[in-house]
Amino acid sequence: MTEHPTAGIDETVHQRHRLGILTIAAEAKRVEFGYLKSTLELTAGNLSRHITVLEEAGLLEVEKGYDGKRPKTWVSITNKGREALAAEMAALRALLDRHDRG
Amino acid sequence: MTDDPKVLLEELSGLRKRVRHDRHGYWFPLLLFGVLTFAAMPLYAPKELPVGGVHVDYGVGWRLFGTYVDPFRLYYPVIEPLEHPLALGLYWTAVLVLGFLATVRWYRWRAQRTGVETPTRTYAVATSLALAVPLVGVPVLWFVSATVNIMGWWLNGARTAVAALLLVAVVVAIVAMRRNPSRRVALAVCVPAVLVSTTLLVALSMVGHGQFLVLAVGLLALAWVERSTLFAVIALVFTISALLTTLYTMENVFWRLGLPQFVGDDVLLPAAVLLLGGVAGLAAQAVSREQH
Repeated sequence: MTEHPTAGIDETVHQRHRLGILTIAAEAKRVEFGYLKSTLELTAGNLSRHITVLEEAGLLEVEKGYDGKRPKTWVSITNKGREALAAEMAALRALLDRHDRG
Repeated sequence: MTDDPKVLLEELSGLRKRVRHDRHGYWFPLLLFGVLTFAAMPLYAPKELPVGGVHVDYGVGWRLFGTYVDPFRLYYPVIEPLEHPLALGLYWTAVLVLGFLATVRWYRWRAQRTGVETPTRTYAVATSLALAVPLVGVPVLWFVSATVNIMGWWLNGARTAVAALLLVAVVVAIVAMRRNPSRRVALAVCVPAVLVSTTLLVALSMVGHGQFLVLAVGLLALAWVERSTLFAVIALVFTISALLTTLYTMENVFWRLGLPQFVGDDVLLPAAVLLLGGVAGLAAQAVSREQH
């Protein structure tokens, strides 16, 4: 008997906004905090919490710096983050296939 | 969070497209290199040849062991000597090096403005390798070629030089693989690809206008990291125009089409592809900005 697709779902990643953060980060070398905030339409506090969870899981790296005098926070995805995102996408597609067949 | 995986996958796909559109900045290198190519046209003025078939050196090189060696041979058209070969050689060397640095700088500057940074490492590596051909490969090839010829070896000098370059590349690759075994698979794919493309580039450099092949390698690498269908098409069309300019005498095309010939007509096609591609990229970005 084949394993149910939900078995491939990681609770840290399987959250709409965290998936969004990982998807955006995977498309670039690095992404600025303000870009994530406006693209995902999140408050700064909410986004910060999601980033902390992903950083603690080793899926994201956070780099703080300055653009002139303005502080800027840049986020980049790790190899582990890419693998987790790929696994989550595969699990979602498998769920969709199962749903369509059933 | 939506529980429907279909809706979620569509949302993520939309996000991915948006990020790609936001970080696209390929119009700048296309316009930059297009303008600089047009600006090079006056440097292709032909040399006034003396009557009576006197021998004229084509470039700015020197005699080495009886063979003519020219570090800028890559850039000249094949069929006729130029009035200002040194200016043309220096111009294209500066355009390739400074244009490459400006492109990398442009993407970093743009990242500060938009908040999303395009990875330029692949472009930097590909262009550096391609740049090594005119800056190091061709002069070395000509030097080895001249040395081998004077030693009277039965092998053709240029072929021996290419073989020597390949041998060095293979040795370097083997040493690199032994030092870092985790990169074996990547190297196993990359090294042959680089060797084949470099050999082709060196071989093609012998027929002139090789700067467009260096630009084509860089643009194809940039199209890969930009993940843009439009840019991929532009880079492909430019590569075809670069090959046509390198391997064929464009004067013949103008003549067959009944068009007037003029100084620098050889480089008109790649220059036009770059400029039109840049304008198309700029228009695509404006449309994308309106949609989002």
